[in-house]
Amino acid sequence: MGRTMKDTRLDVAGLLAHGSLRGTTPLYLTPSSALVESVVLVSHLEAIQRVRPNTVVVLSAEMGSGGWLVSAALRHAWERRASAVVVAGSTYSSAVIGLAERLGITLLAAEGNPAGVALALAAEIGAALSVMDAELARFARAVAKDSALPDVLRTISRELDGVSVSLEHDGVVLASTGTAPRDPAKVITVDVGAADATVPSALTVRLPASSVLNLPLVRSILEVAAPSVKAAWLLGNSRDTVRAVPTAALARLSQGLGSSGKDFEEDHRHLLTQLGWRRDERYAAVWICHSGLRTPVNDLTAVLRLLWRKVSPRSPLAEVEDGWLALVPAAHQAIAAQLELRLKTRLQPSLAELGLVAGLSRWAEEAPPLPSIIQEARLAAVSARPAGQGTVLGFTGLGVTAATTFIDRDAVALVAELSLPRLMASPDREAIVAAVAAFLDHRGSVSLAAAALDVHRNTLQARLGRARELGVPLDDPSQLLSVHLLLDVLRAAAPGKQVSKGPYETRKDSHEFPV
Amino acid sequence: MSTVLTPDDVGHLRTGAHFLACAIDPTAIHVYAGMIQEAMQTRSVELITVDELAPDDLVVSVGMVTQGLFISDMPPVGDEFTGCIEAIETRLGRRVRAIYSLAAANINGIIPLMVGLQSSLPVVDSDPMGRVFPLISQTTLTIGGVAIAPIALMGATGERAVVEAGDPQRAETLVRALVTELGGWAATVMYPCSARQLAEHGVHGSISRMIHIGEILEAETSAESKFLSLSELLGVTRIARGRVTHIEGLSRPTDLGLPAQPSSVTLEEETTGQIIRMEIQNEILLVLVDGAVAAAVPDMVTLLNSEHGSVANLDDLRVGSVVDVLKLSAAPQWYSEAGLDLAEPAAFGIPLHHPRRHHG
Repeated sequence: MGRTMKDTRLDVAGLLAHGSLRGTTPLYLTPSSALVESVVLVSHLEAIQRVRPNTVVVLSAEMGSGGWLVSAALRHAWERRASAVVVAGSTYSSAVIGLAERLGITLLAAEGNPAGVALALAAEIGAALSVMDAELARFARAVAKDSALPDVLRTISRELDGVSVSLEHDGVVLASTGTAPRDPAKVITVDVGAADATVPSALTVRLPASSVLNLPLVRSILEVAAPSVKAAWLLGNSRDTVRAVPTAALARLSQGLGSSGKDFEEDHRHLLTQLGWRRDERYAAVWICHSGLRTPVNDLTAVLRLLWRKVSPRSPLAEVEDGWLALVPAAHQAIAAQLELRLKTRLQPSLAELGLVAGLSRWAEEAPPLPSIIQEARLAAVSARPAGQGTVLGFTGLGVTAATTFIDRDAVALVAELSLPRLMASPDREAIVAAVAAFLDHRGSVSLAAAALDVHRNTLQARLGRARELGVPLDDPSQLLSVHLLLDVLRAAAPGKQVSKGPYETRKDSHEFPV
Repeated sequence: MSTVLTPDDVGHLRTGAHFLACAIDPTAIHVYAGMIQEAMQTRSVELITVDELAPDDLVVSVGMVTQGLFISDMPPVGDEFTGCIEAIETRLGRRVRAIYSLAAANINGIIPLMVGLQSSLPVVDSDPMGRVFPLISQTTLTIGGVAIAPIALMGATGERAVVEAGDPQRAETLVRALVTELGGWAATVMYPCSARQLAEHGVHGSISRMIHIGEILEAETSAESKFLSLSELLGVTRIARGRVTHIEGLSRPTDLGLPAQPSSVTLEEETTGQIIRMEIQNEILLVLVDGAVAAAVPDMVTLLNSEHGSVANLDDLRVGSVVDVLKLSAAPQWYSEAGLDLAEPAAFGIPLHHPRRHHG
């Protein structure tokens, strides 16, 4: 990479030493030299109120050279953060020079007509800008050669002295390079737009306070780079789409099969081989879906694929019905554990931002059929929904309890209302529901249930008796599963939910420790 | 309600007239105040409000117009104003019922009292400026479309002229030329109008305001207490308390026929260190605080000695003097578009718009 572009900037000290301000007499010079980006020749004071920062304000000779005029011009120039004020040569009182010093703005007196200074300075700024344009063209050529997004970001960062450059979507960092400063003094963003998303993505640079880079130039570089970023992103996404075809096809083929994987693999052996799946290889499946039932309108596939690279860059993420799926080779349990750890550390915060959840299949010694692990990951993801967006859940820790995820709790509550009206109308309903539910949780052990609820066993017995009075069919084994389900739902919906210890916890003062 | 003015009122009026025009040498005001107080021993002068006159009563303004000469250098004979009133009455064929002052500050704030004593005409507590401006065309009556002419002038030589001119600016030019010929100053009577016109387009309470200001400034109280009273009476605000650091003569070019030379005074704010720059020509036209406009004509700017609370005369300022720079708003008519056209800084050769002018 060639020299960096900060060299093209002009400043007052440089212009005074060997530039177009050489012919002026400094009446007051600020201790630090101000940047010069433009020049304005003004013929009335109000015009100064519209100048851009880092402008040299030249007062035309027609305006005169009165002390009040220079005072007012200094004030306006100071308010607009101008670089310097150039006035016609005259005798100025110490009060005028004192004001320049007080406001901290350079005041220069032109030898001849100030318009001459303005013209010379304009030419010099134009020449500097054309150098800048040439540099931008060189950068554009360099960045256009990169086809991978990380390479594009690296090229931008290198051009900007290694500063942090990132591609962000709605506050989520999709890809980044360079060192992020601890105290970013200035954040510059340029809209990249996304392939087909309603939320725009932005190319962002975080500059440290100590940076000497010229901010408008940094913006120009980002603007020049933005099409390359977008192109690299789109190219990467389309390559991933191609790579993800076997995964997507597998998901499609196994849809609706349940877990009957063995037959599936037999039935589709030839096709699976063609797609590149090997029967003896073990995989872990990751299913990502929206945390709510309603799917947001914007398509996140391109965004997610960039994020997925942080987890498993070699395994493509496929867009499937109701979510996204990836199958990651996992020959050993350690690899599956590492995958789960990566999901939780590298992806979880972004999933939370995007309103998504993820599920992970189990790892087993025997290579399970592919449709099974896909279903495990999907069920784990759906089961993760109630825990809130950003949740990553493994099927290992879930097992059969996944079934409860699919219970329509509203319908169950309605059944309770209709079939157990006396219980529902009872004022001590909550205590009875908790007692019966704990009793069933502990496989009919009154002692364990009483310990779990922290009540005396006689109290629990009394509550179970009351439940029978209110019509809860506790003594009919064929109805017990339904009763357990109903009471579990009612217990979860109770406003003052009683804290019950798990079936394997008991009071320490109890005499009935399980062994 | 009509009031018979006392010698004490005249003393207060003198101070008030100076306060509202601190840029002008107050010697002439003092000379006139002394003469009026002397004359009051045998005669009286009545101050009335414009409402006390019949709507069609003829009223005229009285005032001195000077062109670079101190009145004390060529004292008046004494009959100049009565001569002008006669000339107007002859010209219009009607009797003048009351007089009013051409300006509400400086010498023209006090002259109507002298003319009232001489002519036995009552003095209306109104004026067409609400302050003092250097040009006779800079009046609220001009803004209201009341004719300035016919104008009667009479100098110490006894020569007399009546100027007929439709355009106030043209009248200004003619009057200035005549004043030069008459010896540097002239007594004038102008803006002959009905009491109704004066009520509608004039500024009211001018004389009584100057008397009140004089009462406050001459009271035996602290400078701060005087400032607070002025603030309550007139809405005066303090721009700065500054120490004079620089005085500059001929600080701006002038070509507008204004009857004085421009100058500038720079002060340093005592506590904040702000740089205060005052641009002066006849009066303080512009005050910049660190280059930003803090006051501009038609705002009135005046100076008080920060130690005693007495009027600080601009001519007496020296490097090192500490003064309070005070600002008070002019009559509301001056902040209308037509008012600002006549009296904002641009009318005095300073190419600036008043901050209150609506742009666009």
